[in-house]
Amino acid sequence: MHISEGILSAPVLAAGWGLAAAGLAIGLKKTPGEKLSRVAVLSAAIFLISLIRVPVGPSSVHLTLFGIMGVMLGISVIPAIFVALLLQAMLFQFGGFAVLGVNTVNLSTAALTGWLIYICMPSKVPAPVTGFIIGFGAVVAGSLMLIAAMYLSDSSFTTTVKLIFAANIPLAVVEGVITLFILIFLQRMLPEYAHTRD
Amino acid sequence: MHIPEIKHLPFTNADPRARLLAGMLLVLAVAFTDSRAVLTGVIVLSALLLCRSLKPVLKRLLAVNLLTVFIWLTLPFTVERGASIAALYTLRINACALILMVFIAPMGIGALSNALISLKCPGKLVSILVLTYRWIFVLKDRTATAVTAMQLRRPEKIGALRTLRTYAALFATAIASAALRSERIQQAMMLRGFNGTLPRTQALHWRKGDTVLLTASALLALFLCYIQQCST
Repeated sequence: MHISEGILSAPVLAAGWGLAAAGLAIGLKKTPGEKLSRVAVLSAAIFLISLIRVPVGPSSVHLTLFGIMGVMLGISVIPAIFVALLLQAMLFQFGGFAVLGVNTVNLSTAALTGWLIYICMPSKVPAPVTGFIIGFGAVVAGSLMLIAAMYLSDSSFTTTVKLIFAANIPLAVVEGVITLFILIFLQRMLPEYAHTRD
Repeated sequence: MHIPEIKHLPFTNADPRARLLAGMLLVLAVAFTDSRAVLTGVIVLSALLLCRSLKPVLKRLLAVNLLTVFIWLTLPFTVERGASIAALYTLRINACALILMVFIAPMGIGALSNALISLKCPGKLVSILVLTYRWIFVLKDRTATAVTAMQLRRPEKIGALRTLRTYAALFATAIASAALRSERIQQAMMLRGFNGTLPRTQALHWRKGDTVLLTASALLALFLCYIQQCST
C-alpha cells in the first residue's frame, strides 16, 4: 500500500504532509512518555509480522495488520506508522521522504478505521464478525486512500488504481480472517490491552 | 528480514544533518522533474557514486519497482502516449530511490536520530524511532525461530482456514509477548531516568565540507526546478 516517490503531484504531497503533521501532533500529544516503549515494541512486532509470508492457496501474501495495530494503539498509531515508514524508506527505499506524508495519512487512515470499527461496533456483535470487519475494513480504507492520492495526482492512473484496488481485495479478505482469529486470541490472553475510547 | 548491505558509499564522513537535508532537497526537486534527460543524468550520476556496490543496489531497486509493474501493465494500453508517461514515472521512482541510497540509506540509526534531534524534531518521535529500530532487531530472531518451529510442526495437508488460524495464533502470541515485554522495558527505562526523550548520543561536527555538500545540493535542486520551470 506504499506509493513510491515521483508519482504524486505537488498539491497532493503538500496536503499529505499537512495532514500527517496535524495527525502526528495529535498522536504525540495523546501519547504519554510512559507509553512510548509500548508503541515502539508493538510497532516493531507488527513491522516484523508484516514481513512474514502467509501461504494462501498456491501463492503467499504479506499482511499489514493495520486494523489490529489501530485496536492496540489507538491514536498513537499515527507516530508508530510514521516511524515504520521512515525506517522502511531508510532501510529498503520503499516509499520515500517526499511521499512520507501521504503514505502516513493513507496507512494511518487504515489503522484508525480498524480502531473506529472496534469502538463503534455494538457489543452484541460477535467478536469474529467484528474482527473480520476490522481487518477487511482497514485494508479497503487504506486502498481507497491510495487510489484517491494517485487519481488526484494524475487522472491517467484510472485503470492502474482499479487494478491496484482489485489486487487488494483478496488481501483484505485474508487480512479479515487473520484479524478475526488474532482478535479472539488477544481478547482471551490480554483483554486489557485493546485500546478503547480514551 | 534481509537487507542487502551497500558498502563503499560516498559522503560517509559528512555530517548527518547535511546528508539528510541534501538528500531531501534533491528528492523533492527530482520528484517534480519532467525532463527525461535530467532524470537519466541523475540516475547515471547516482549509479556512478554507488558503482562499487552495484549488486545490492540493483536488489534494492528491484523491490522499489513493484509499483512500476502496475504502471507498465496499465498506462501504455489505456492512455495516449502511455508508454512515455510510464517511462517518466519509472525514471523518477528510480532516481529518487538512488538519491536516498546515496545520501540517507548509509546513515546509521544513531546518526539519523542525532540529526533529527538537532533539527528540532519532536523528542517523543525520535524516541519511538530509536526504540522501534532497536526492537525490530531484538525481536527478529525470536520471530524467525517461532515461524520455523511452526512450519516444521504444521502438517503438510492442511486446509486454508486452518493455515490462517495457525498463523494468527503465532502472530497473536508475538503481539501479546511484545505487549508484555514493553511493560518491563518501560519500568526499566523509568528506573534509568527516561522521561520521554532520549539524549543525543554523539556530538555532531559541522565542517566546511558539509557546507559545500549542502550548498552544491541546494544549487543542483534549484537548477532542476529552473529547468522544470523553463520546460512548462
